[in-house]
Amino acid sequence: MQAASQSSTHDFTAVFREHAPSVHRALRRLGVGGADAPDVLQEVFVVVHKKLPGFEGRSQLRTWIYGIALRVASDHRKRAYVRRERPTDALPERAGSAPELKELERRERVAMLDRALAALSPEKREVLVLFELEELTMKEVAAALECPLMTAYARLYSAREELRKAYVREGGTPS
Amino acid sequence: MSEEREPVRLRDDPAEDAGLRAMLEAAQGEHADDALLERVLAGVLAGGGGGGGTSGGGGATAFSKLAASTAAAVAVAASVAWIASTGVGPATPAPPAHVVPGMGDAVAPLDAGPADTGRSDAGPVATASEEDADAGRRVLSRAPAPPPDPGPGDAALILAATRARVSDPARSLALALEHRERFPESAATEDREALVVLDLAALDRGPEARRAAESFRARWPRSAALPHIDAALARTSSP
Repeated sequence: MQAASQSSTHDFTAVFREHAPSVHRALRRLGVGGADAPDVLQEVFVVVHKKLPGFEGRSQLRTWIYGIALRVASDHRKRAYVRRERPTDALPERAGSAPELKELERRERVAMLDRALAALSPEKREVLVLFELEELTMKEVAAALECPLMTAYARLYSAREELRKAYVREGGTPS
Repeated sequence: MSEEREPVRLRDDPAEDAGLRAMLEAAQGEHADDALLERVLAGVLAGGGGGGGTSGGGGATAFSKLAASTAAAVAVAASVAWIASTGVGPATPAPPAHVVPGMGDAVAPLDAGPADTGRSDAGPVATASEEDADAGRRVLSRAPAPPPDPGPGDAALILAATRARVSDPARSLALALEHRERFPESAATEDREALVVLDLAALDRGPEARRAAESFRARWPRSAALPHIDAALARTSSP
């Protein structure tokens, strides 16, 4: 009994270590602020932890986990008491060296992306994040969203158009 | 149904604007801090562990549990009837005031993770020690003043405290203490007091955490939060 319990815990730990970094990143792009991200990430993996023993493998594990993450992130957005977040992480106070400047530049781009993503509807944003950033296949995206594949495609193409427009509004050059 | 070709991702499409591609690539370079992930993992295992994963329902950690328990608590409004039916269960809400003093200076616990875990089911089943039973009888026989109305502030505050436990235990503790002050005896009292212990432990305030834990154990000897509290105390550096 105890052995089984330990084994299950170990399995969960391995799952967490493999998937938590990307889920954390996805949550950020789905609009979960930096201060809330650890808590929301924990919420996601509480659910994973609880349901993992019953996971039947009908979908890929990562698809299943992303599906949970989408729902938890959606719930998070709906909560009225969500803390007001600064739009971006704090930038380094000084950035003198080349690596620091590079990191600063990266963060500025990510902040720009977040502002652009914020202009999208949640449904389009989810597709875009999962496909363009998390590199799920469109089939996996549809599975995570629990929507027909064609719907996922339609959302993706529409989301791309909106992203391009938002990018231009943010000061990017039109392609 | 046609088999669609997988689209080329924007950042791999040379026809796409270079700036837009760079923006998407930048997000790929974001990595969560390892220490943060370890804290989250510990939080999940502590709060949702309930049995290390075998137990189907014991997974909830601080948040979900708390959320669930708080929601339930608010729904029940800490009703006396519930207390009566529970018989003095360990997780009994609206505990007698005499217990609170026991918590000493410390801070309180709520147990976000752990506590919740078990408490929702533990409530009614709880096995009560003689002391608990006495305390419970006292509560019931005093015909109590109606339990404080939890109100939305109660749930929101305790949820906020629980949610902050992993990322910001100091804030979580402050919120839990505020909850203690504003809602000394609410349906979320056990959660709150467990959370205080966990926050203190997370802040490495060992002596205070231990004192708070002792009081917690005395008041809720069968609480499902206790294993998690013990685990958290074991991680503190102070003796």
